[in-house]
Amino acid sequence: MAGVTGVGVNGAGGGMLGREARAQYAAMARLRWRMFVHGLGSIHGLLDLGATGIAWVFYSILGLGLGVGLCAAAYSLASSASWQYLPILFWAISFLWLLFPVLIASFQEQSDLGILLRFPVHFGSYFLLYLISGLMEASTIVGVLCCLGVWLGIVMARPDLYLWTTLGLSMFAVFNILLVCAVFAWIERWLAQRKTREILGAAFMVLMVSVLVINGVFSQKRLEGRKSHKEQAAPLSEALDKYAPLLKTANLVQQWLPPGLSARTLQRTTEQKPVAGFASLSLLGLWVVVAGSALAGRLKAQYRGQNLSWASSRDKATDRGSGWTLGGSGPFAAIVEKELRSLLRTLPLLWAVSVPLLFVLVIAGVFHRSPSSGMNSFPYAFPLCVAYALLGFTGLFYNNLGAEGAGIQLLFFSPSRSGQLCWPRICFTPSCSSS
Amino acid sequence: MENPAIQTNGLTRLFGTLAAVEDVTLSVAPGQFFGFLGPNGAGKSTTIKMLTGLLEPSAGTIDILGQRFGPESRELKRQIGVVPEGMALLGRLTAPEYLHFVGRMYGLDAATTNQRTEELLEFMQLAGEGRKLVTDFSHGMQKKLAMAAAVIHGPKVLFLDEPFEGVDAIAAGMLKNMLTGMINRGATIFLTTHVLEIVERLCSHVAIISKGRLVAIGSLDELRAGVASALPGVEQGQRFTLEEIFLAILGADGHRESTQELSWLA
Repeated sequence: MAGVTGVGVNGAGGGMLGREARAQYAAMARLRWRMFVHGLGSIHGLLDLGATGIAWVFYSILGLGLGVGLCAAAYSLASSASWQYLPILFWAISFLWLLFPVLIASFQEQSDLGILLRFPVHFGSYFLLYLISGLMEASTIVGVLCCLGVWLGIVMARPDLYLWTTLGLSMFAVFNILLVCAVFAWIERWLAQRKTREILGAAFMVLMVSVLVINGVFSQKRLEGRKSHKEQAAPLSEALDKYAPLLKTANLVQQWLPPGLSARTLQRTTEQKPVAGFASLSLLGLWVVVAGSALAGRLKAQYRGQNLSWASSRDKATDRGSGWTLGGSGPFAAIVEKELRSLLRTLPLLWAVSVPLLFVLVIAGVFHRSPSSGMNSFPYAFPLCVAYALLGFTGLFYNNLGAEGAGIQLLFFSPSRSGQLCWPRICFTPSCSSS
Repeated sequence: MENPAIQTNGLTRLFGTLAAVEDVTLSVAPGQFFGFLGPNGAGKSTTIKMLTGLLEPSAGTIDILGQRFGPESRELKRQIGVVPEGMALLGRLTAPEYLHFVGRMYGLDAATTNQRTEELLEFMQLAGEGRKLVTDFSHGMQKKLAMAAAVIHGPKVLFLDEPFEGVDAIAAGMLKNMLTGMINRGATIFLTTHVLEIVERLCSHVAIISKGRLVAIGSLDELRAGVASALPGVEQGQRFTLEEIFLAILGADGHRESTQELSWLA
């Protein structure tokens, strides 16, 4: 078998669009397709596909909802020529585009192109494949739908701005895609850590409930209706006056950043200053180059074999010496001690233990003024239902032998009765919660 | 004089402050079956990762087939085959699909890839498992598939990280025959394994690494002579096994004492 090198070899060269590179793209595409098809052949694969489908529907609905909202806002701003407020929309999209993937990172599989490094793959091909995997991210769907919303809103109000809006928003979208890819490539080491993913997962759940509760607070304020619009606006006006210099400086700075530049491109065009509009667009292009370079820099390092997640795992040769023991003897004490160690080292377990208490406090806080103040608790019904539903997930982390993994065999091998093995687990978490 | 097939100079890899591999300088001649030994965590897999471009060295140089090896060395990567630690298989593919993927990634055309895939599956006795997903393969079958993927493009230098781990005796014999055949046809093989008998039978030269540093290198006879001269009371002509050499070089006496302390063991 050896010594047949050269037979049937496509040949090197041609760069990232050469014959060999194209054959490699085809092989990658076929690989993904075959993996998908085989995935359908098993229950696990079908469930996986179902979960992915539901997630994509959720992201699409989220993106469509935000897109419609942004479309209305953009239409309103463009038709009233309030271009000075347009950057707010672009900044909102940018934050969402960047924050959303970081928060849902714990629920997603991170794409790892490390398997390609053993093959004679051109760096350009490696870069391109990474970018394509970035395009498949949920944040891209949501972000692009938001951009489409803004584009539609502006073009409906000002059809004459079709070209500039298309150019500005396209470049803005490309910048965000590159930025998110670059950020992810750089924080790979951080995301590779189990604890980080756990923290982000918990943060996402808290954020979901918090947003719903905040919405409830606003609804409550609206329902109270005790103050007139004028009264409500007064404190806001005072605050704006107080922070005016700061806001002015922030506005000056944001104009030079991508969301500001995207908005300024359109603003300048409407002011009949196409050269200034073009200059803003060019600066935005420069930002695209900066984001692309940041991504290329990290990927080049990955391509050289500088794998941050490996470094992270090897680097952290931390001493996890036990330091303490619970004492006692027999399986009951041993299992309780094991559960306690697992609890202290696993954030989802801590979350599972603490979150019921947290929700009790939140619910108590929401309702305790209700009878005397006549507060309407109806706006909080939905967030509390969501919070209650989330409690269901916490139950998966404990009293579940599946979480033991391969270690479960040790329990079965031990010369103990099944009751001795199960009771400590059944008693442990409720004891922690109640204490 | 012919260039070495593999040459490293001061090869070092740091993970933070931990030196996984430190200042490793070695040379493997073309056509040599080279055994790279060491205890767990000694730095064997890290060295292989660096030699195959999967991990960037912190310092030092690597030359393969007389050329400086780096990430852009695509032509050299075409000459290298590797069975990496963990095998890097794609579980949700069938064996033919996986080999087809690997062949195309190495730049083989479709016809050649198909032909070699068939031959390799036949040779590895995996031809009857064409519809099974790799994830459903036994460990030994996965090793055989990883080996097939490592040689599908006909590499001149082969890096094998624990290729015999979990492989049954019949399959191991088959793999050994294949590797010996490759050596006879001029390939160079760099092998890490804990099965010292295999190294003793197959390898002409051996290096031993411990705590990231190379502690011995040479032909088996050179290592035997070195150990014989270092140990007191060795009779002339006494032939050491590789296990004895290994334990003598790594100072396994301490290990024996600690075992004796476990007097409560039956």
